Amino acid sequence: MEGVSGPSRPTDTQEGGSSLRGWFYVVGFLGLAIAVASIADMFSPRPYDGIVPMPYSRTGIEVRAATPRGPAARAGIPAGDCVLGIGNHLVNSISDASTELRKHKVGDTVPYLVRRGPCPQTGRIGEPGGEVRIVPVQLSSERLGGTTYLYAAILGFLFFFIGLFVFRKRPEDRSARIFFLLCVLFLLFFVCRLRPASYWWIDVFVQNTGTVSLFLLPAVFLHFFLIFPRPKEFHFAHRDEWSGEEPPRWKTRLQTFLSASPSLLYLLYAIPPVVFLYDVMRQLRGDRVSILSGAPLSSWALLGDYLILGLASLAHSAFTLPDARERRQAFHVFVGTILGTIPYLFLGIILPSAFNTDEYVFYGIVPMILIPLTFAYAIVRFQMLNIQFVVRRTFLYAITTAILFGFYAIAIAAANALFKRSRPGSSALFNFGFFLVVLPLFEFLRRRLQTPLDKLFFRDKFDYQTALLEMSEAITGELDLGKIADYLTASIAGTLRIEKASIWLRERDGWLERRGKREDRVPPHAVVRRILRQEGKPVRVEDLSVYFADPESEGFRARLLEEGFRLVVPLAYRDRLMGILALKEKLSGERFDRDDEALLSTLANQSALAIETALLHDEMTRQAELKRDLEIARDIQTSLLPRSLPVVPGFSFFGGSLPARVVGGDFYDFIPFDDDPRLGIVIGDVSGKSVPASLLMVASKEIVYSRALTTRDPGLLFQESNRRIYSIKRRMFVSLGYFLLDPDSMSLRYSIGGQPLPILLRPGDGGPTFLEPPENRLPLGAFREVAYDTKEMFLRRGDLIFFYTDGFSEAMDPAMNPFGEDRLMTSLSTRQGAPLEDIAQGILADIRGHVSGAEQYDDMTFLFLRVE
Amino acid sequence: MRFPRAVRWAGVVLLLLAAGVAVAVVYTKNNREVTTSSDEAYQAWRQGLENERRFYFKEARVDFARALQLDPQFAMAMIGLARNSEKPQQIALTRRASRERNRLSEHERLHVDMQQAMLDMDQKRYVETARKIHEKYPNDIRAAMVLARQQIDTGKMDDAFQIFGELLAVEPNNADAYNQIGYYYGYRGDYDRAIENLKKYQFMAPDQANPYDSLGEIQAYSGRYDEAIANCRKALALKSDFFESFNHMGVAYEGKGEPAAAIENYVRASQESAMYDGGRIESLMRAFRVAVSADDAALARQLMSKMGAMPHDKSFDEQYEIGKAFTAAMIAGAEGRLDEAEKGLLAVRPKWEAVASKQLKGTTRKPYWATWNFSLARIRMKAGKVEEAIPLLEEMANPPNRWADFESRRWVYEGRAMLAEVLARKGDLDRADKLLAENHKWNPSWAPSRTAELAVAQMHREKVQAASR
Repeated sequence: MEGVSGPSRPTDTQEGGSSLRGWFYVVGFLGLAIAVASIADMFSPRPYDGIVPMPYSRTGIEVRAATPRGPAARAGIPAGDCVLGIGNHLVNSISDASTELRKHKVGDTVPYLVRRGPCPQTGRIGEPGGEVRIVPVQLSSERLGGTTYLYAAILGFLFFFIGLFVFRKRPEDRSARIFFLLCVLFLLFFVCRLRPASYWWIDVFVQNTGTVSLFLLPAVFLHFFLIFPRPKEFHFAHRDEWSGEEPPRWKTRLQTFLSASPSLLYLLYAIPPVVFLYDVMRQLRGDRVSILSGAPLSSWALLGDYLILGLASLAHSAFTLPDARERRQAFHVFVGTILGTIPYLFLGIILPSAFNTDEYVFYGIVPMILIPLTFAYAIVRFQMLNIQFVVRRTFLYAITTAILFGFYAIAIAAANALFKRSRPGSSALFNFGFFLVVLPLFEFLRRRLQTPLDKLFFRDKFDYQTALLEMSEAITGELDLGKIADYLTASIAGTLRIEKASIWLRERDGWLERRGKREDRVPPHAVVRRILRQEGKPVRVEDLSVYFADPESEGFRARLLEEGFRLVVPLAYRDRLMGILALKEKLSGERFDRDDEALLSTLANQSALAIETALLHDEMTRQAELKRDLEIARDIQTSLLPRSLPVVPGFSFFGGSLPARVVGGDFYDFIPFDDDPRLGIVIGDVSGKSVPASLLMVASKEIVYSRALTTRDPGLLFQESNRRIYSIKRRMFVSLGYFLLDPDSMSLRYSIGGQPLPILLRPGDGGPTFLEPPENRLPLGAFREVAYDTKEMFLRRGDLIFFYTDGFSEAMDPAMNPFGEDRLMTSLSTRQGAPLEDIAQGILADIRGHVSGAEQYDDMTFLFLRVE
Repeated sequence: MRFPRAVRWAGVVLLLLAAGVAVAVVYTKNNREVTTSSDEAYQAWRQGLENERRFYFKEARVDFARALQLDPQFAMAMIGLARNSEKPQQIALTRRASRERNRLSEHERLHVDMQQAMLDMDQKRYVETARKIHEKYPNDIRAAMVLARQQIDTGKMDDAFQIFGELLAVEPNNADAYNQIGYYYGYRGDYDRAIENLKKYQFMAPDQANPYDSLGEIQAYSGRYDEAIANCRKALALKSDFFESFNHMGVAYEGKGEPAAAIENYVRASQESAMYDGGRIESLMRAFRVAVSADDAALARQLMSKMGAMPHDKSFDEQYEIGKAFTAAMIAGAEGRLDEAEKGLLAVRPKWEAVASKQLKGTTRKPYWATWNFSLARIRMKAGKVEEAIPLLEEMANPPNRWADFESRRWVYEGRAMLAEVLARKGDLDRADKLLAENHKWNPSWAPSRTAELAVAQMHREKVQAASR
């Protein structure tokens, strides 16, 4: 059964990810553009009346505050009054005011029509009015942005750049994306929301953007903490332990819904704008909407709810995450967020709204710096990116570049001083020319500085590069699998400074076997192998999905966890998993960062290739050895068969051997005697095939040969030989037949041990017959002691004796029917008068016809003896 | 030479823009709201409208005349000039405009009809035409103002406010609307709201005299005489011949109890007024009334002869004769010839009724004889015929129509005051106090009625004294 899914880190596919990433950049830079426009608006001088208006008034400009010592304050327009007209035109809204103020210059005295008390509710004629007066206001040239706003803007940009930084480094990571969005909204909140209204066209846009950020921020905030540091999962829909009943469907659905599902997130994002729009509609209908600090009270209430939920989620993570380090980091962020937001809520919102004073707003904003700082701290500790490295690098390189520029500037000044009085020095092109000359030097110097700087300040990364180079060199040329494995584990452990590294290597049977622990194996069908192969990069052991379908994968994962391994690195080459590298925790306790993973990935690729090469080399060597062995055995066998047939007057011989494999186990030979006209004929068949059979054949022949020299009696010879053969190798025995031909007496004395009885074809006998069998025909080597007997027969002229091994009679056709001795006799008898070679070819042809192309089952050895 | 694609597209876009601008210019040029072939005439007409809105009627007349000179067939200039001319010219110009009907747009034709209705004194047709204009052309300020004024006159304030609201939706900075609204509240005695709206008016038109004058008028009729005089002077500082300010200063001085200054201002107003009918004669009539009230018969005669010397429209001969008889009767009263005065007033009444019935035909307004009642009541009271004066005063104090301006409200005020005095003398102090209390809601101290108030106070004292005895 196939596995269900891979590691649980939420990422986007390649195809959809890049377009979505693009949209995030668009949103981010749009937010940045608006923020920059807002700041420009705040800090550029323009005619200003010192009135901070309420943003939602539609029947006049309700004075939320008059900036101290500002034009409105000097003209006696207090907070709470309503400006009904500016510059001889009635105004109903901020945009009307903006239009009017644009017509004037700084210093102009502009009449304001001011009503005592709040603006009319509906603006309809007939609505009760109030005391109105015309007040001259001299417009001043103030920049709206003050210390508080500057600080808020810095905070906002700090957020933005931290978020951008994280997003650039991990654009495919969902939590990084949400974090970026959160930071953009914080930017907009600080820069666009916490600013006084300025009456200019951009103000409406910026203020509305700030308002949008106000009600999006809680949703994104909550979203982020629902997925950071890992997606929230609820588990309350359990099977009943007693009855085994499945949980109710609604419960399962609810669990799925609450576990940071897309539906939940859609709902979270939908609620704030719906609430806001409802308030807007109420206002348009003419209902009074409670406003707090420029936004409807309901929006603030919702913000508070979301903030509480987000903090609750974070607190939950801080207390329940399995990893102690992660719990610590979540706790830090939790504390930082609390300390950053509570003062603002109190001093920046509640106090000004209740007591109509902005005096303490700045003190409410100051602690908010804790939020981006704690986030940044968490990022560093979580190692979402190696911010230490980047910050150090960026800072260091910036300093280096600045120093070099300083040198360059000094050089320019010195050159100017030196050449001041000369003609080249007075030329306008002198500096440009000097720049061209110095630039290559500048670049050269900078590059020369780079390596020592890296070595000095980024030792670990420098080590990595060196280590990578060394390891690559070491393993690329290595063909010993064991050495590769040992080197890998040792080098990685040393470079990354980890407790231990272990490696599983692919064996010939396809299993992955752990180096140094042969019983720890992973079968080819284990799902974890497919997953790792597909992943192709380092994976945390914890992230290996729990949805394995097979016990072997589960067992493997469990073993890794039990032994404390943290990271597994697949060694894959061309879609084949050559091995698995498992790493324990770093000695420093730090997590594996991007650079570590990059190093491991590079090494893994190279190692897989090296392993594949080593395996191939192993296989090739083995094949070569095997071939060599076979060739040797063949040579041995070929050399031990008689090169030529003996010449015995009155007798003709013909023989041959067709082995079933490259090397066969049958033989035949002639044993001549120096002082004896008799001739020994031996024919044999060894059990087994290939090289071992062949070697036993050689040994058996030598045994018989040496015994034959001293013992002429076939039976006795066999007894002695049997003992010897028995002692060579048990469970391997030899079928032999020994025939002693006495040409003088025309006798043939023989003993047979396991061989088929030779066939005698005597003219005039009517047909072929078997030679008389001895009493005891056991193969040699089967038992220690066997009493072999000797038989004797007398030959006549024209006799043909066919000696053969059982390969002839046992040649099988495709239906496993043997050729049989009857057929053999028939084949022999039909060719009685033919030459020996022709008889042999004819029998073999008949056998080939019988087997019909089936593989030769056994060796076929034969010998013809004809009495001429 | 082949241009790059981007350049070609840019060229196309620019050409389209230029064409669009040209079309817009041509369209705008030809799509004026009035039928005239002359740009200059059009500009002069626009200027005339603007001056009219500012109540700078002399300047408006000059502008309309110039427009007509530049385009003799400019119908709307004829109508504008008619509005700012004496009756004979009004009739002639309106007829001339009617002859141009076939050339005119529907909007212009309706304005001609409205002007004709006004000349015909057909109030109903006048208002109906204004309503048609307002329904079809909600941006038409004049029609909207006529309609709103008509709603105010009939007491339908919600409808009037709705019209003002629609007007302000179209033109948020329509200062005239706030002027009208301010007056409305002023007539009702809601001084604060009146001031609020008039301050808006003043704010929107700080360089115009009328805002200050309107404020001055309301203040004058509300008892804030010094403020009124100050504002009227501001108006006159902006426009030295703004005759209404003289009128309103006259009212203020009347209220203060300085008849000589009042008369002086009224006379000055008559000198500065652009129109005879409803302008100069009216101002002199005010002065005449003050003189009569002060029993200054000699001055009254002078003023009467001045009025007699002024040209008037022949169609108003009947009213003119009535006026002469009326003023003669009032002089007789001032000179102590009470019987003669009474006879003269009684004789003039039927003729006056006949004229009034013609004037009020087609309207829902009922005749209100405030002036006649006041004069006769005064004479009868001088003659000791208090009981006969009471019904006259009751009529004055309880007008059949809602007052349409301060002057008509003033008659109510004075009627109440005199009635209060009579009732007090008869012993009905409660009712007298109520009448005076109603008056004080509008104006806490109006000099012409001081005598009556003092008399009531005296009755109270005597009652208290009697009670204590």
